[in-house]
Amino acid sequence: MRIKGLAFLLLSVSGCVIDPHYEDKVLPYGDDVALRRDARYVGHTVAEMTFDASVVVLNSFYEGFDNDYLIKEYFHVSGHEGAYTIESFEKFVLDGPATPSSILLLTDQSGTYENVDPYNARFQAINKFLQDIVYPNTFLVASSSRDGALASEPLESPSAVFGNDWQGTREYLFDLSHRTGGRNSILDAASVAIDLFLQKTDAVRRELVLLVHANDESSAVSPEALIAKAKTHSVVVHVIALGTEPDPEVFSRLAQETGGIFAPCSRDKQMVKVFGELERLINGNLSVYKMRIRFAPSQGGVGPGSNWLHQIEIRDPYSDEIYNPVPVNLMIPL
Amino acid sequence: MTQTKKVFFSLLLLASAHVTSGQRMNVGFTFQYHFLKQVKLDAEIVEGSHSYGQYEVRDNRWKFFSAGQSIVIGTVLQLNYKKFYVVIEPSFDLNTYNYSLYYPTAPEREERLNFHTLFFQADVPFYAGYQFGATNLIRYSVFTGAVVVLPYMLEYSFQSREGENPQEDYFNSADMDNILYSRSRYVNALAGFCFHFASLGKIDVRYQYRLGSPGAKYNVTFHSVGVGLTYYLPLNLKKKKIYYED
Repeated sequence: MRIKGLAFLLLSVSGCVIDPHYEDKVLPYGDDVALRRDARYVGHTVAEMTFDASVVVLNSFYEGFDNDYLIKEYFHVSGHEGAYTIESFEKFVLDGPATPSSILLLTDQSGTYENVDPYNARFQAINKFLQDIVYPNTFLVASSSRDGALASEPLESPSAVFGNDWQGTREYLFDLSHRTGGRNSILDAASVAIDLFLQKTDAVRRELVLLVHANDESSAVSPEALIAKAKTHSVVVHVIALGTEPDPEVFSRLAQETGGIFAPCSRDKQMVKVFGELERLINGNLSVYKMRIRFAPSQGGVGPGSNWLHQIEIRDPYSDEIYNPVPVNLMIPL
Repeated sequence: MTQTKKVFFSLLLLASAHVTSGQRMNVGFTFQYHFLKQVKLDAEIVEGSHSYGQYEVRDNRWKFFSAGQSIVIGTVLQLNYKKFYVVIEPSFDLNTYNYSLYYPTAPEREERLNFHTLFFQADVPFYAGYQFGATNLIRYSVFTGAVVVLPYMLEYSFQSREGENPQEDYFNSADMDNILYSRSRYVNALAGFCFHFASLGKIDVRYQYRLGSPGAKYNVTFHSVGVGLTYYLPLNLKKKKIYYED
């Protein structure tokens, strides 16, 4: 009788399982994405060119660290007719910089995000990114559009001072969800944003992050002028290109020539993944795949002053999926 | 047995000994259905507890059925003394809430997120009433008391019209944790009006109001109105002797 009673009690208790309780905040699940850390011209002859490229691979199931299990055979370079050869391949951990950073996030508020980010995942992703930035690193948020819904053009910012008030900034970002429209003028806005860095007198790294989803056809500032201004004032420009519209000839080159990361995100969940790790990508350690690539075009030669856009494709050996192509811009010096 | 327990059981036995004039005990079953509810979140914007999202608050109306429902099945122990009575109703309660929040996705577009909470809980209502307007058959009464609520199982989800429910991919269904619900026990205030049908049973209309909010960050109030049907077991028939004539 006692055993029966005990069994009944156990059965009753087993039906009373309260769900697992957790405290942490989480982002929507992100997708795998590959980023270009940097790339540079090494040399050329009339028949071929050589360049270096570094890639960081973020896996959806990794948080706080990067993919580091890939080998050379999973990398493939394409873009032009001819022979690509990966001459050297290495993977290593790049230690985070010792100097603190001031990060200015500039979002493109032009047009509509309905096709590329239908659930406004960027709001959550940016919140996470800002919350990750802690003192002595600081941030400032701004948005840009022309003839849109912003109070000032080409750039609107809730503050002119870098800080760590992500909760105050969150209200501004939430309001921005209602204020898209107009044309893209992010190059003009980025130029103004660089001026905001100049107000800072302390010795910090200047990191400008652009979130774009459209091409800029209304800015007075050219990409070349912006690159020159950024280099003059030691501003590193990182670009997160959401969707397929942003032209890699412009935005990838902007990031590459200023030493920033270029993250081509064809899907919103890739953007979520990038923002989820972005603070670490800027301020922390990275696992980098670095390769030296030689390319011999099958037609024509390699002339000084010519521009080339190559792309690195990566196949994951476990899922057999192809990561997003990573663009590498190359201009052959005169 | 402690002194307090001894006193309690003595009083219980004393009360159950229905030999005293004007005093009797009813035992029975109760079935309740709460279909008119209000969940009121006192904020304009609420921050999700497990995501980086935040939502606009607009869904604070009283609603029939769509704000949630409760189905209660329990037992009743009622002690009557003249026009007064006290009741304890240990019950099982299947308690649901629906609360919609809005997430802006574009200037003219938003995502409506219907947070659906389901509790399996044990309720222990205890209340006292006063009867008036007695006739031979029907008496009326008002009652007031409290309900100790002991949740023992909780489920939460988005109640989406789309089968695939893409909301699950972008939003966190646990975001109202410690806002609209918690796993802690709580107390409801209780008041109602009751029709008693001789010693057969009673029908009541009852209002409940949750004392305190599930979490500390936001002030949330819960109101519900329901009807209860109670059937008393005919214990008094056990004492009657029935003689049959040949």
